Amino acid sequence: MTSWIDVFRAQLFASVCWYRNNKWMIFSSFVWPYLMVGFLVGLGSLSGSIENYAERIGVSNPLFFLLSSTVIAMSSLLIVFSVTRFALENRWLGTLPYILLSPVRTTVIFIASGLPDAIITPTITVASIVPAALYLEGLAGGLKILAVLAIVLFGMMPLVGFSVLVGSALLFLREESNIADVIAPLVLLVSGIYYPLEILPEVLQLVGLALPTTYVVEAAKLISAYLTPETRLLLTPVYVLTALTFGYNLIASLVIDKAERAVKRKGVL
Amino acid sequence: MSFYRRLKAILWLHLLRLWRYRVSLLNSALSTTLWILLFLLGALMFTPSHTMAETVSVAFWGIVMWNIISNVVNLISGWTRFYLSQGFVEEHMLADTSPFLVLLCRPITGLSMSLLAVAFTYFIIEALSTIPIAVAVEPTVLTLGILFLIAMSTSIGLILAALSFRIGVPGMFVEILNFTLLIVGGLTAPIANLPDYLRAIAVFIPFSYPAELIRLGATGLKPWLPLDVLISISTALCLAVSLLAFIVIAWMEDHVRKHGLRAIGRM
Repeated sequence: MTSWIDVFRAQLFASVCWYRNNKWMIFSSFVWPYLMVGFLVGLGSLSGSIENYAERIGVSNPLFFLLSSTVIAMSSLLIVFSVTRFALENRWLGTLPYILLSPVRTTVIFIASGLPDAIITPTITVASIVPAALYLEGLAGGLKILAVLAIVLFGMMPLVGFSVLVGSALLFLREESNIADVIAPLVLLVSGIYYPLEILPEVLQLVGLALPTTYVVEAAKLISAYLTPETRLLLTPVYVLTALTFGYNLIASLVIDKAERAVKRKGVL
Repeated sequence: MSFYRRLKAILWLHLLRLWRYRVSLLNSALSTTLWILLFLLGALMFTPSHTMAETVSVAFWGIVMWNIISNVVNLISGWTRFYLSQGFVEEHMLADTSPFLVLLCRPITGLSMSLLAVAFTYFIIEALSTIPIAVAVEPTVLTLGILFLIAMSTSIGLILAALSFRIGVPGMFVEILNFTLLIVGGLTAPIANLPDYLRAIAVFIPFSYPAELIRLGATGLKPWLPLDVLISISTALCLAVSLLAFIVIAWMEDHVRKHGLRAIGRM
């Protein structure tokens, strides 16, 4: 009987082969956080200074914070895409009906096939900013980056459930484009990646509070702001992320079962 | 078939397609805008508090301008990939209808996308400013600037579309140019505020002149050239790109009738 481990192993093999044959992709993953931070600092410097930024956000090392936030943004984005694109690309290729008819439950396939990328991509993007972290903050910077990686991987658990929900929605929409293209930046926008959540309209603040990325950013901000953040403060985002992990994955498993039944009835192509 | 009936049929085609792909329209309208907003909101945190209101207003109008240019140019020139590969160009020519008449009406889709994106942007950044950001100080100058921008974008989109019938337009290259415009095109910041090396580039970008008109009309920000000079240069540039579009289209139609298209049918 095929289990989730087989699906995970197959997808892990596919991802490793894909990275091995796309060395340019690994290189761009290393460069991308620096390009994003460079663009933001360049744009911001047209109207102000990085000192103003540090003061407004409340961090001691704004460059370090911007780099960690960018890594969180990229990792979250890639986690959402790895799950949603699995559904969409297989629909485009015409292989989705076969996947839905396979003996493994669709929920298991969606989650297990998204997991390898959800682990590999944050690790690569976090590794890319290690040199900058060591340069900016020395050994403490390296340790902080490890803490950011741990939080990103922890935040991945509710995010996978969230991505399965988005993937289920994609199965219903018979459009030519990837609707997740709009969901991923929206998630980042309402998570306050580069700015405090309070500057957004209230409706979006509420949406942001329901998303795991908000708490991952919050924890990263605490790590960036203090050498040893107060445990009590750090525990709050951790508790919320734990609750969201149960919440999102429970809802996802219910929704995807319904989506699977509906899609089998209606057809998926 | 009369020209009027042909035009009516083309308008109907675009409106029908717009409605059929309404979710994709929303998706396309918002995805790029959301990325820009993500960076813009971060960049606004660099601004000192006392200049925040003015900067937010300038940034808002910068996004409005970029949306008009980006959507109109992309949705005319980028659409040809689909238009050519499905064999629709030949279909229109056989029906004695210029394929460029179809492309000329593509700004309907582009401006619909811009409208959605601008409404969303306004909703997000309006709260950041203490002054109203969507109020025009000089409505006539603002309208004139927007019309220049639409006319220039349509002409440039048509030139790129016509060229793509023969040589292909590298999508990634257009995308990079598109984002470069945001900073060096004098869209997100007034030309007078740009560093010297960026200003030297901005004066060669046609969109930077109507952009100054729009900023003056919307926020009252003094342009780097006198108003009459700006209007004259914008008019001249607008006529020049429109004329160039007309010449390239006529040449390409002639070329396609003699030699056929680069892409035939579905690829």
